[in-house]
Amino acid sequence: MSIKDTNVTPRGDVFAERLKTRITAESPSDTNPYLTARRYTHGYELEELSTAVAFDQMIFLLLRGDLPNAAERRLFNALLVSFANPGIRDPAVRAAVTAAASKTEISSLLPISATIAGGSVGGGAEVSNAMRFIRRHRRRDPLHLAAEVCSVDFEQVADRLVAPGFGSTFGAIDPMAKRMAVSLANRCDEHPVFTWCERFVEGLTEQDASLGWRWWGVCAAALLELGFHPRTGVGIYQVAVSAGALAHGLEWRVRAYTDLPFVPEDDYILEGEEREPR
Amino acid sequence: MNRAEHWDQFRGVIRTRKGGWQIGKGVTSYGHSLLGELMPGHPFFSVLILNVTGTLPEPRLARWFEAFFIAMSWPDPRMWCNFIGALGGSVRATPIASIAAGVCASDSAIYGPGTIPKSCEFIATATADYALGVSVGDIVEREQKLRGVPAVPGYYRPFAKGDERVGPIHTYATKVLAFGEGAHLQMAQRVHDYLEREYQERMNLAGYITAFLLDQGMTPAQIHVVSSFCTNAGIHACYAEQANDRPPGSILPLRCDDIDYIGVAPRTVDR
Repeated sequence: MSIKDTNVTPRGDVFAERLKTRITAESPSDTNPYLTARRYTHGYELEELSTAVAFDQMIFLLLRGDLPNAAERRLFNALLVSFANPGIRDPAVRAAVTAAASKTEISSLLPISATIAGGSVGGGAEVSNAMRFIRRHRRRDPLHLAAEVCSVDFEQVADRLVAPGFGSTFGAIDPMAKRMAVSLANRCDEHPVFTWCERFVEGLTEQDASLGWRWWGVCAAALLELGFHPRTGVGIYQVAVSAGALAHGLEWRVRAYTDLPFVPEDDYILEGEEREPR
Repeated sequence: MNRAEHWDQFRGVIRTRKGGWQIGKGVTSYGHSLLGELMPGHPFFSVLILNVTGTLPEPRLARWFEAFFIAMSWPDPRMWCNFIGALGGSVRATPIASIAAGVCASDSAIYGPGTIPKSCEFIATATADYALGVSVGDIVEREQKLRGVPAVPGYYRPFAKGDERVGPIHTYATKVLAFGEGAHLQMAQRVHDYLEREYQERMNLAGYITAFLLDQGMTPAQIHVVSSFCTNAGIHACYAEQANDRPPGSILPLRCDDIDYIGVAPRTVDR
């Protein structure tokens, strides 16, 4: 049978006729079935939630199905606050700033920054990948694992990323990530994930003095401590970073585009091709 | 080298092999004048390929890419990425944001250009292994199975078995553009024949285009980048209809009772 003669037949997939969800229940108004009389999130009625819980609790409820207990809330809130503003040098925030200064539609600032915040090196996907890495290896001796991941030969051009969430940052140990790991671990009554990761980091640093926690590894450890699944890591990171990105974007939306540095001709270096137009 | 030196060499400086704008002089891509040479003398897809790969392709490859993008341009809002464009139109989001959202949606593991990396990896590995003497059966059967059928990247698509786009684009490539069948496409045909015989599964467009483009010398990364917005014309269509021709909220509106709630019963916050 040639690929030219490919015939197409229905796969016979059976599709649902209706949407279903565990998260939201809505009762219709008496007069219009498209309008909502009451909305419930995992069983809690909206008006009660709006008076009884804070935004961090609402996010936790949405993602986990239950409100956090006191210990969970302490750590989750600390996590969201810690990651809410990575600063203007962060690529996601810088994307929002660049878009805002160039007068991009304000409604696009968050999608733009959230997209960049989803990166697999220095973004939310690194959080999810680090969560997967930690989960996969947590039963192993962290010092042996550190020696093993450091033994892999690779061509080092920039950072040494020995595992998602762990390695060097700008060629060295990130001091804020190191402090944040301790600070977040101290927010937990028990912190088996942080304890394992700290041992792993000790092993890494023993192998190479430039290796330690990366910012996104700290986020991953905290989320695992809270019992989140790795697939949620990227999204929670994007949610947290969005606040800082939006704030910086709005700061820059009212500025002139000339307030944004533009690389001058002399510093725009064309490599390997003719500089003049042919 | 001090580790920070790597970043210092890029601080305040952009180094590029691509080209750029010299104010008052012109714009170049790999030394080709955009407005003096490329714009009047080359189709859009030639410039797209040049910008990604650094090489101006032969004209027939640009025509082939145009055919590929047309084959992906289904103006049907039931397609998932198109539906997202339609939702954007229905709430009067901007066309750029809505179409970008639709294109993002096509970065999927089961349809659209998001499937290209795995499809490339499969056919490149299969072609190399076949050349070393591994049988087609072994190559197929070692893939992870889904409901008893090898889930071979490039040979599965939702909704249907087989792909109506493959035949026409292959005919266009061979009969009109006079492309031959290289090692990857021949391997793709062998896998197609095996899967059809054993499992009644057939090649899909991603399987075809990745094999074809690997035969043209493109790398998997280049194929992925050039193909990244191949679904956009269908999204344009579905956005435009909702934004321009329908009242807001007109694409598949849902009543409260159209949703089946399967969660916990109403409860109160424990204060």
